[in-house]
Amino acid sequence: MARDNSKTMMRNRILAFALIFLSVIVFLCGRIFYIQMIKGNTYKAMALDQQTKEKEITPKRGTIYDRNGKELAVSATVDTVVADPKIIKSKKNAEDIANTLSPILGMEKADILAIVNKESSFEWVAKKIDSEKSAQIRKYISGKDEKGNKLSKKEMEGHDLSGISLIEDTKRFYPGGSLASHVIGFTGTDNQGLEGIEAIYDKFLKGNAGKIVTSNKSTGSLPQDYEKYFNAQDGDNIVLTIDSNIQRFVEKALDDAYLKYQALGGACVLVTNPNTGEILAMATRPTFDLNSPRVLSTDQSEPATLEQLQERWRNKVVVDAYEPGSVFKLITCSIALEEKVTNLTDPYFCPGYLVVGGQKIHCFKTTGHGASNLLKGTVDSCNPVYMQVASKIGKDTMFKYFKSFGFRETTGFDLPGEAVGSYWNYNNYNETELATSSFGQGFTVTPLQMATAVGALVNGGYLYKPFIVKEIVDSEGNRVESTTPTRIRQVLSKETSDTMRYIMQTTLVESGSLAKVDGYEIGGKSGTSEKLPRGNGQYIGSYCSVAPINDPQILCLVIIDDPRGASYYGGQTAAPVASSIMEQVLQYYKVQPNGDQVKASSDDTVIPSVIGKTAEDAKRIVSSFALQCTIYGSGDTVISQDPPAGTHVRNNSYVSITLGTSADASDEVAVPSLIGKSMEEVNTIVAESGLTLKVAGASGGNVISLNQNPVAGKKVKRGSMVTVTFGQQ
Amino acid sequence: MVKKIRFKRKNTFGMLDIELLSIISIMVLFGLVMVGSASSVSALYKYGDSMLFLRKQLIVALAGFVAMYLISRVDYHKIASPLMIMIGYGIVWVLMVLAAFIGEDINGAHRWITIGGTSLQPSEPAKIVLVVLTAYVCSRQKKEALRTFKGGFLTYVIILGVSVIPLILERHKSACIIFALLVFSIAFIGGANLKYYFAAAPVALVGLIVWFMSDTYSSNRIMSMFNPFLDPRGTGYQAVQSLYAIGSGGLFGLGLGRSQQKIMYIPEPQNDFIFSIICEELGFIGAIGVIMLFVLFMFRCIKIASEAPDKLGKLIAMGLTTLIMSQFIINIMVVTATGPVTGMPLPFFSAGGTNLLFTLAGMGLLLNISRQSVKRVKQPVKTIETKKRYI
Repeated sequence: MARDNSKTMMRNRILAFALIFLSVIVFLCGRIFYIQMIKGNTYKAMALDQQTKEKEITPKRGTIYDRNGKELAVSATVDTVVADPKIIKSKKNAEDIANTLSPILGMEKADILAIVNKESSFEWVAKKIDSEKSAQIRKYISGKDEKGNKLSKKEMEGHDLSGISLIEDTKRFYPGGSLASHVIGFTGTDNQGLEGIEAIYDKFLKGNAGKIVTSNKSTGSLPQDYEKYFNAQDGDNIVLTIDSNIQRFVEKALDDAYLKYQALGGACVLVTNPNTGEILAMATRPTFDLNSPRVLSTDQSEPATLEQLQERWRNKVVVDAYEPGSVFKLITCSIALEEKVTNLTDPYFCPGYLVVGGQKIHCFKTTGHGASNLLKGTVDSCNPVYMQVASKIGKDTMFKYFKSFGFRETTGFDLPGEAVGSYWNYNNYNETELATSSFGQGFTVTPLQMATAVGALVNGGYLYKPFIVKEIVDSEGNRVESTTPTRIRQVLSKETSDTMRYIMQTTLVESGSLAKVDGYEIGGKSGTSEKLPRGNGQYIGSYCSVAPINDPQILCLVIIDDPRGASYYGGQTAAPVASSIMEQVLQYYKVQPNGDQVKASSDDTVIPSVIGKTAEDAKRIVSSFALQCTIYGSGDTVISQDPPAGTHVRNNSYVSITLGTSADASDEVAVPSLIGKSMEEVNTIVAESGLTLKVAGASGGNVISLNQNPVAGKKVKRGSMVTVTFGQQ
Repeated sequence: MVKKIRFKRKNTFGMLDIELLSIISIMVLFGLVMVGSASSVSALYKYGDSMLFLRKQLIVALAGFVAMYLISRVDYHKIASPLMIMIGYGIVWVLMVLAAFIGEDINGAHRWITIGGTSLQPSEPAKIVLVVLTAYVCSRQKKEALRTFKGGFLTYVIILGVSVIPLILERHKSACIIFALLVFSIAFIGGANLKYYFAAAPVALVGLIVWFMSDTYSSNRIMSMFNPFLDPRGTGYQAVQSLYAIGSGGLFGLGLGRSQQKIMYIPEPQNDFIFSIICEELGFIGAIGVIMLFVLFMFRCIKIASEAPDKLGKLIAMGLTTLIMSQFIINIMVVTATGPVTGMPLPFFSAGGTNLLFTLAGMGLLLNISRQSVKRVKQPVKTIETKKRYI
């Protein structure tokens, strides 16, 4: 039994022994499964990384064009200096490199030595050097001068650059300098987009790097050597909706204004096509040069801080919300008309203030505008009228429209950092808030949102999504993406929109705004808001104009933030900028002038009306329109003119002006007797009597007047036509 | 040792254990293919001869098989005689001490001695001798003696202690561990009282840790075991490269001969890290195949031990099983970064002459035990088939 017992124990212990080993083996199988099947791809990638050497082929970054195909951002090939410290073995080699490169690259010898003595096989020495420097370095690397002649041993002495090589890289250039800088943005040292279009469309612009993969053969030639080549895919080109000509007008006008008004808070302009939402120009002040975005001014002694730079790179149009002020009255007005709570002629009264919710809110004209209506209230920019209108519209409707005009959400615009203004929440939106919001105070919107909303006022009532990228085209010229205008929703009826255009035009004309452009029919509204905290004398003046008013093609919004000049009103600061931009854009668009007032700048001109003016005034007006004048008759008042007012004529054409007494000018005239007279005599008599001659019958040298209509002595209105029939006696 | 000795002498042996021989042959052949694949690139680069290690391994394998066959013909009772054991133990002990003083210096460890132009690692034959010695001692002990502190514990601690003295001089820690496993597993199976071992285990463990940590070379390797990626170019280098190789294999591997990691990344890929190359070239399938071969081997060995004619045979068989399986397990732990990197070959597979030669010689002993198994000897032997069966 003892023996059996011993045998059983031995068998059990052998079994236990086997179990211990088996369990360890099962654990190890699990471990191998984990390494191969779960972490396999990770390890494989890491292994491949060390087994192969990759040389990157940099793709060409896409070009950014304006809508006319003008280059705004281009990439050029430049050289970058790299070192392979593994190859640089001898001390002399390293010192040669430091001695040679130091003066060429303007680097400290010690810094270069530190790089080439590193334990690695790849180090950057200097990125993106200009062609002159790279030519000097290339000379020593290849041992040949520019003409391909071998350098002598003596020339190469002390310039052993083994281990140094030049690789192709691309550098971004911006031909326009600061043109549309906030829109285009710029790239970093690795060609990655950092701001603006360069950042947002980086994935299109950057392309795909190609590479040459070779087995890592630092240990000699091995049978497993291989090489694979992957083509680089150049980046796509971006075509913007920006028109660089318009952008230039805007930049110039804004430069002048920024200087003149010393706007401490900056300034910005947005020009759009209200019928599509396309951005035609967008500019912000202060600005910067895209080719050196980190330099704030040429005479700066210290590098700018990141905060300063980011402040400088802010695209105010998109990221800065402001209180729109009275420009917003246009929105309130359209709501009132659309909801038919009032019409243009319903009587309102402005006593100079209005008590709302126990608070006295003043009109800017504290003496009051007196009897008014919606149209006059808009022209006068009268707050009490608008507060009364707003109370008729009511809180809920205001709220609804605020949303539908797109003020509560981003426009989905394609530039970085788009902001949404701040607004009350429904519960805090009471009587007072309703009243002040009617004239654009107490809440903020971005310039982009404001322009989008005003676009809906004039284009038939549609809110369009603003966009700045027209299309994306790949390096072979195939269209990758193309933006079509997006109608977000209809906010207003066509009738309301038509009325709004009339109101805007009337407002611009009747208020005698500086935003007017002679010869063109445009509409607009100014706005001024006091910056928060109130009472510091900081204001934002803005102006929004639209032209041509009957078929709006251009919408221009100008904002001058905290001007320090003589006036801070939008009508005084922003309006002239809008006028200057509009004038140039309209001429650039070759829009025919057809307004009452014609300026002498174009080849064609329109004859002004001078009837009722004094002779002196008439002469001055006519000459100011680049016209000559002949004066007939005598008296102190112009009683007729030929051709009549509104006729298009060439510059320097003659205008006949007939003078008479002021009594004559108002009275009827008796038709003189014209029978039996020569044509010349008839002509003179008719002109002198303030009538117009129509010749009938025969013509020639010796014809006389045979008949006349009306007959002599009949009283007719001044300027009426007299038909005289001539014939041979 | 005054107990009567009962030799069960047999003039005729049973037939050769074809199953065990097949498993061994498959492993050695598989190993040859992998040694050829793993070493080709570095052999070409270093010696200008891509077949160098393959040829060496082939010669050692042939010699090993001859040794295995010859030993299988010798009754293990003759080998496990006191005289033979004393002579054998004496020789390997002295050789190990010699290696410690005049041996080649590799990473601060002296494990190799050169005899007649061939490098030899005396600890390899020492492992076989130690198995035979321990098994003999244990099989001579009475059951009651094995339950005592002196007989069942102290005896083995002394055997181990004497045996590891030269290894400590050589700073050959991995061999120490193998020695300890051999001695204690034989004592365990032989019926030693476990309570002394359990009591001693914490002391031994602490001692082991202190010993490993006292040596910066070893302690760094242990630290890098926990995260070899902390120092992928230093102490973690081999583990990281091995993980890359294993991970690259995936399910089916890169294909035979297509390892990338064998190209100058894994140092001497034909030696201790041959399993990594198998994983890389043959994938998870290949790795499981190798492991299955060892599992089959273990089962076959246990069967031989169970059927061995006496306790000496059982213990020698289990000692040899421990020798192969513990080296296998430690090797896999090392290459999968589950244990500290230590020089441990994969038995039958790794290149490195001494290990393969003495492993195969040890297998000869196993085959002899198998030949004398209760089953085989009981089988009637037909005279006509004799020649065939006796090879």
